[in-house]
Amino acid sequence: MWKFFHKLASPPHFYRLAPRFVLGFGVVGCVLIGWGTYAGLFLAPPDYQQKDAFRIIYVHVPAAYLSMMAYSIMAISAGIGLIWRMKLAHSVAAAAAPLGAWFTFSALVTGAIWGRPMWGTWWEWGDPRVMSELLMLFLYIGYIALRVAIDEIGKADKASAVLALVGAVNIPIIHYSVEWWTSVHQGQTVVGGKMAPEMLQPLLLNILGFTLLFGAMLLYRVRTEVLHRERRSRWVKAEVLQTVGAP
Amino acid sequence: MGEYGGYIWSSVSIAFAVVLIAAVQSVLRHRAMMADIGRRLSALQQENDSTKERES
Amino acid sequence: MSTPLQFPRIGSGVFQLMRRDLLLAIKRPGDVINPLFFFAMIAALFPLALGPDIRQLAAIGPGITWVAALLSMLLALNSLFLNDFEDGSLEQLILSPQPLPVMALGKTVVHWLLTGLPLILVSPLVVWSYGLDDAVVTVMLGTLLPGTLSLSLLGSIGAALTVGLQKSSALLSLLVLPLAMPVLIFGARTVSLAVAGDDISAGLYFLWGYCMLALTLAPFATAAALRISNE
Repeated sequence: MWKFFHKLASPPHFYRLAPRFVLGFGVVGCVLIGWGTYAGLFLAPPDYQQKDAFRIIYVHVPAAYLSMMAYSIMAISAGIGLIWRMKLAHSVAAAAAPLGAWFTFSALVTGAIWGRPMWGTWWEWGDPRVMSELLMLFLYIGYIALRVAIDEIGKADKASAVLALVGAVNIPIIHYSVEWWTSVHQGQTVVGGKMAPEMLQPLLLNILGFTLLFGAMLLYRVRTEVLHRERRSRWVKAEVLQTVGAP
Repeated sequence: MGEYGGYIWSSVSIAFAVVLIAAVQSVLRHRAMMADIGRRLSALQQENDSTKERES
Repeated sequence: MSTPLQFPRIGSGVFQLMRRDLLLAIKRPGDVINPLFFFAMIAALFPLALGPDIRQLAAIGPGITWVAALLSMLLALNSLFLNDFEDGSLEQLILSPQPLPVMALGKTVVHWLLTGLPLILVSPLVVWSYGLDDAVVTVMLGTLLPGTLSLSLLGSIGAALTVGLQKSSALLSLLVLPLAMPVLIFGARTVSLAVAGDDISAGLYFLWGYCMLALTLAPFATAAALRISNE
């Protein structure tokens, strides 16, 4: 078991092993999303209060969940990379950030589209979850900008890892402060309730499906990052010659 | 879907489009990286060849 | 090396460093005065843009003062480590046997004394000019004190991460602003509550709590960031 992980952490092994997982996760993820979305949009009964508008939940909640998940993956692997000086962990952190930013963006846009029929406005400054997601997007943008600004990859890894950890300490505080801010302002806007199983099931399918798809894209991006970090090594040269063709 | 059809379809298609963009971006990045390393390799090889020629 | 390695006292180094930074700042007053003028100008911009209606100004005054404070703190941040980085003394500081987090804290505190404190002292003028009374001024001072200190500490992490990078000032704002949101939210909101005559203890507790957290954690992050930036 340990040997397997040890091998996985070695870049060339990871590079050769990853495509299988990318393909597997991607295919299963797409199937689950297809099934879940179909069931959610056509089979699930309309909500008692929100009628059909609640169906946006089937893409909104997975995106919002993944935006948080990506940040925790990023922060944890940044910490691992900083403490144990593991290059692969830094690659994972670097790969998770753009994906997390995309899912955060998706959560904000689908949330805005949901807000239009429900709250009567595209953008509700008073909702703590909207504000949390927006600040999350800013944190991702800051992280990516810092990475882009530093040329030397080792330095970029470590500097952005410090930023990711500082951000991780701040996220609960940000969350708490926007909640306090809105509680002074007004109550929660959307009433949460228990979901019927035939509504919940497609949601769980979609969450699982999007997570798998995220995992596939993450592994794919980690491969690119590994390639970048190891570009001077012998195995990468061999790998590139094999794929691009000998010059 | 009733009166909310437009909202639902637009949000679903945007969510899918974003995932698609993220995937395409990942693939393009990988390709660019491959091509970059390949170019550097062939430049290196040409340099080697020319030095060999000069030596011989 | 036959002489036994002497453990340097923590105090000696950091106080000398702080004294040096203060002396340097007195010789270059622009670094202190420019952010202050910037603060005053932002505060003057809003009445010019929104009209001189004093009731409206009183309603938005706390928020504007806080945003102006945040922005001018941000403007001043760039200079925190820059001079020392350029003349190489930052590297000496990192290599010295003195504990780097303590030194970073010392530099940050001096920076706050030179930028945050003058800003606090000027802020009553802004609050008065927006037609708010003395009670609000007291609360403004009470929130700006832990707030600006937290901003300096948070900012020191960002400044340490970006020191030595090209065109770092925009990047610095991008890094620090999202992290600074809780301070802005609680600071501005608490003063607004004071204007409305509500209970303000929750906000003050939060700001001081956040300040203490930043005081204990930020110097270590800043030290780590300085080491990384100077590799």
